[in-house]
Amino acid sequence: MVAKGRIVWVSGPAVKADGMSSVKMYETVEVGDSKLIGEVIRLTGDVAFIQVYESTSGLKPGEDVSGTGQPLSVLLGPGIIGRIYDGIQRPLDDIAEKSGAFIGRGITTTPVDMKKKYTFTPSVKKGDTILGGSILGAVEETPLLTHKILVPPNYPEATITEIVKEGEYDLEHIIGQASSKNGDKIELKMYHKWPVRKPRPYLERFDPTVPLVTGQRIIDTYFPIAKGGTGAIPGGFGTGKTVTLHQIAKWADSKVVVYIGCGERGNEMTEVLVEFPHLIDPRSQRPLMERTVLVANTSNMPVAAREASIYTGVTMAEYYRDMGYDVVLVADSTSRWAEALREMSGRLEEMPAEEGYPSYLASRLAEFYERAGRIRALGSPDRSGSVTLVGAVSPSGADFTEPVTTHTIRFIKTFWALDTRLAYSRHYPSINWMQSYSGYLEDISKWWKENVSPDWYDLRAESYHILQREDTLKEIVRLLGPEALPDEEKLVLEVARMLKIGILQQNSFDKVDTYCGPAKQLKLVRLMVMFYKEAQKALKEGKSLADIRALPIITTLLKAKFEVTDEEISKLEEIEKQLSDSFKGNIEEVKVSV
Amino acid sequence: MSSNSLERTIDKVLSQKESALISEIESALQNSLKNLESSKSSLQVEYDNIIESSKKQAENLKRQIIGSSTLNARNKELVIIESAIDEIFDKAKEKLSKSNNEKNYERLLTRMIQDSTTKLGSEIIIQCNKTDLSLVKKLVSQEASNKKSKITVSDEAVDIIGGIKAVSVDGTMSLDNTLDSNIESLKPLIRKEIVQLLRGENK
Amino acid sequence: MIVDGVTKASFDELVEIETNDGERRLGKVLEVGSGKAVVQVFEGTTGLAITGTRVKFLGKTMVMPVSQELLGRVFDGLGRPNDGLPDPVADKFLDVNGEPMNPQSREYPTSFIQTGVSVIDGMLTLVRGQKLPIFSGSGMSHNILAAQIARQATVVGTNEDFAVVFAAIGVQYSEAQYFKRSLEESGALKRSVLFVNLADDPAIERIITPRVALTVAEYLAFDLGMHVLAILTDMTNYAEALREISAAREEVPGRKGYPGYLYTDLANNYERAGRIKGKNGSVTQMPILSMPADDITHPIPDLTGYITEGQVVLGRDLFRKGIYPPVNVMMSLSRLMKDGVGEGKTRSDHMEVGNQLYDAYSRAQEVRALAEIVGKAGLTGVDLKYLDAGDSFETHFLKQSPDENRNLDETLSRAWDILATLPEGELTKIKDKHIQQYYKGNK
Repeated sequence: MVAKGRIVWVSGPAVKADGMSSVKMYETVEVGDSKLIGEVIRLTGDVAFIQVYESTSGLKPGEDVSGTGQPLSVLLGPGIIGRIYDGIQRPLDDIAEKSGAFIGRGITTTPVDMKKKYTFTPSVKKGDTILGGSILGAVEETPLLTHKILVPPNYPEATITEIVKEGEYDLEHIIGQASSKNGDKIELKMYHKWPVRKPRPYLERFDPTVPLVTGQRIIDTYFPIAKGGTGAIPGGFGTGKTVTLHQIAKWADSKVVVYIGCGERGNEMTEVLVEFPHLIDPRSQRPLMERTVLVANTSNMPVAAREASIYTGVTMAEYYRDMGYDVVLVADSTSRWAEALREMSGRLEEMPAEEGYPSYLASRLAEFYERAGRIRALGSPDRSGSVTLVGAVSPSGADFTEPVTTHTIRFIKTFWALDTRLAYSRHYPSINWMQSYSGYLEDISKWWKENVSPDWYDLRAESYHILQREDTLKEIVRLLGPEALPDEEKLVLEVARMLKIGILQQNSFDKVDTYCGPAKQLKLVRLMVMFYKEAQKALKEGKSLADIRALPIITTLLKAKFEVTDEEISKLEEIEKQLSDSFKGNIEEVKVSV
Repeated sequence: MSSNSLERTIDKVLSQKESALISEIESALQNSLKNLESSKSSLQVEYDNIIESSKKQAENLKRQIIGSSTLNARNKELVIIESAIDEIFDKAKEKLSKSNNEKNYERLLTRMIQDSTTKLGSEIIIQCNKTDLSLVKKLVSQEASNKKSKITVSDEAVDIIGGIKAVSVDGTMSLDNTLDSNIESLKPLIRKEIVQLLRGENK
Repeated sequence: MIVDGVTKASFDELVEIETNDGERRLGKVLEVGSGKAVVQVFEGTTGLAITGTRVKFLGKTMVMPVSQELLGRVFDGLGRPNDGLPDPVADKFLDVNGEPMNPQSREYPTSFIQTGVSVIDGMLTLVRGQKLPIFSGSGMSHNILAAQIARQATVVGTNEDFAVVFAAIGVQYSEAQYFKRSLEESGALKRSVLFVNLADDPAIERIITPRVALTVAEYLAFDLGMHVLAILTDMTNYAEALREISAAREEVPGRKGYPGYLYTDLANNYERAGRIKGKNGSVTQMPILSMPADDITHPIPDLTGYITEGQVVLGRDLFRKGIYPPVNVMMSLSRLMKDGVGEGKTRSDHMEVGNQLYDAYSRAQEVRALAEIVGKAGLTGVDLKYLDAGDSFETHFLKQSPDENRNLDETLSRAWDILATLPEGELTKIKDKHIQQYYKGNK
């Protein structure tokens, strides 16, 4: 039975309606004469508290509210990739078509084009047994992505009684029929719906052992994240959070990217929309947009839909994971999502915890990050996929002790701390190498050893050690000046400077430097470590630090990151030769001058 | 030392002195010439600067004068148009206040009374102007017999062009359905049309 | 204010309040239900009695009449004429709250605006459709800078002038007057619209002032195709007014007593900037806010910085040194610069030069701090060069006169002058080909 009630109270996005005794928690409802979309978030007697996903301006007590019988769900099927949705999976281009450049209200759309025909190739035949989650066949969604058609995960075991031949079908076409053990007839289509607040089930979870390669040196080399892992990137404004997230979304070696712009700038979403179709995936040579889905609920769009956008995004990510793909979900920013929770909680006059946030903030964050993981999917054939979650945090006043940051830290394993001071001195990405950490380092070092080079772990440790020593020496310099240090330690400072400029800093707006493959990353680190060792040796042999500092090879090393492309990596071998030559040359020079 | 040699020495000293003097004079001349030249050029610079800045000021002044005079002209036009609008409104109101006998007006009043009962409830008090009093009373009695509403017409007339004012019995809610307020709320739209007419004629 | 006996009111509806002595005020519905409505009165609740005050529900949300005629006019904080002239004749009536711009319909901002101010053009480039605030402190020269930008802003290669929408929010009379005079003197008043809510006007009115101003800006830009520069000063006063209302309603506060929805509310104003696909005009926003106690981590500058596309931060130190404009470049940033400069837009070396200047000035600052401890004698040769570069950056590049309009070539040439004081090997952010082309130092 569908509930029908009446509005009794309106305050911003929060609406109370009575006569709602037959409505369920988290059921989607239509609110008011203009049928705004809302969701029941609390029930007391026959009074339902509803959060409305559109502007409630002009809504009056007395207007009708009717239930839909359905929880807030997303439609999962071909046609999702390449699109931009609002927080409740309405395509923004369809909204623009209906209401112009500014977003109107009460607009209904379908998430994907139900009439579009796809060439479906079945992979099951009559008589096959299917389970919830089994693959029925595939369609080409984009040239980059083969979309596997899945049996809805909550379907019982059944036997295929009919399946269509390879051919063109639209989404509403019944592509197959099956009968379950107790004789129920099941109709199969190329799409199904899934409630956003319910994680999609899987068979089992694996340990993350494969790194997500992002092409960002400080991430991949120093603070890596694994496929199926979780990471957070907190930072004050102007520290380059969004740019870093864009970089991950652009270059990560995953099959699908879900980018959620949650309570952020409108122009940032536009930037992705403008840029991604022109960016070419370094692995497949295809436009990045062919593997990307955007969920955009900008800061000026209704606040309740901001809360939903996170769940909408993660459910779509899980769907592609269940096809056996690696998916990266980037959420910018979870703080705005937490603020949306706070605003609704405040309107409902709930008892607040720290800084006005509701007491369930921590459990909501935990639930979200729990949806990451590398898993074995349900049904047949056997396959595994992953969802990697990366969330931005925007701490107020860049204060990492505020509630959203402190709670987030408990649920993530890779922490990229953005540093306002580094950003002020234009050190980008402004990830602080002393504060950041990765809990996946040991798990993934095997992959680097096998796929890139056996000495990866040692080179990383050696170069990182230089940075650590610099950090302690800096204190001394701050108090006594650089001249107080012996040459050996001054050299540490010099090499640390080179590591910062030549490795840690990466210009995302430079055509070459924006992506740096694992091989080039390792090679650059190796050159720096080699320079350090050669210079140490030269110092011991009596050469002056000033002469070492004046070596032209230093500038070459610092510029190698953008002067040498991934394709011409052999040029780095030449630089390596120049490096050892310049030390030889100099030492001879020293002898001559003596 | 012979006098000759003395003279030679003196001569030498003198000639040296002389050439030193001459060179000194020459260099002084050169210097003063240079000074003159440089002061001339610095004068030129200063002169240019003054000219430049006064040009700039003149340019600014010109822009300012042109800017403010076009603006002033436009503003005068706005004031004139507004007085024309006021005149038109006054005439319209005058005309409206004389239209009480028309059949349309009776229908309008009936609608207004019905509107009042739906918005304020069935028990209301109605006020109108002197001329309309008898008409309103007649319409109210017709209306009251149609429905179960209790409408009182106040004998206290109000100073309005036409239409009615309605108040709920407890006095908490009222509805202003006078012609005056209706005109007032439509005024912006009417003004737009008047201005279009005025400007259209001007062209 | 809470109104009883309300049956037909709707959320966000405009109301007219009539006091006992016949005075009329405007307000809007914040909350409605159970026969009650919570109404926010824009002109304050002083003088409102519990009995006898009447409230009229107008059945519409607040609108602003808009037309081309608004140019050259002055209005109060609620959008009513303030210059003794009649009400503007409206072409349209627009809801002052606006509607969120669809990100799909936005045009990404990429057109360079030359402001004639070296530090902005060279390092913090403003582009059409950007929102770039000035973070200032009490008494600093933010108004002079904003007025200079308003006078000088041009899009290179076109002769299009900017229309200026100026909203004074709780500022002193003299500040508002300074702006008006500055626009008048440059002949720009005829393409400007001014909204003035002064310090002694009701605080609640300030909630509306930026909204009416931005409604007009959007109309001029997207209906009339003009390029609009909207200057809102001072947004701190706006946020204070918001806090006042929130406190009066006894809402659960977020940081420092500001309401939890401060971010969303500010965003609803700041996001009303940009360009739209297929339309000519643009709204470029330059909000000005004074940081309480010069503290950039205070919620108002903090949340603003999270929404706007960068920030221009004025520094007390430079201001005391008498340097105008006292822009603290290290703390300042223009997020859209990368898309507005470079080959085909400005000059191919523009971005790299900007980055290198940042790097150089930041090194100079470090060396300065060091020199205070160890003295100049303890510095290396390269360090000393950075010290010189830092000084000449402040005097030769940053400093300029409020009526000095430098074109981009001059700005970049001055930048290369500064870089010339550094050895070539230090220029790690610039590609070799640009060094060959422009470097003026000893090779």
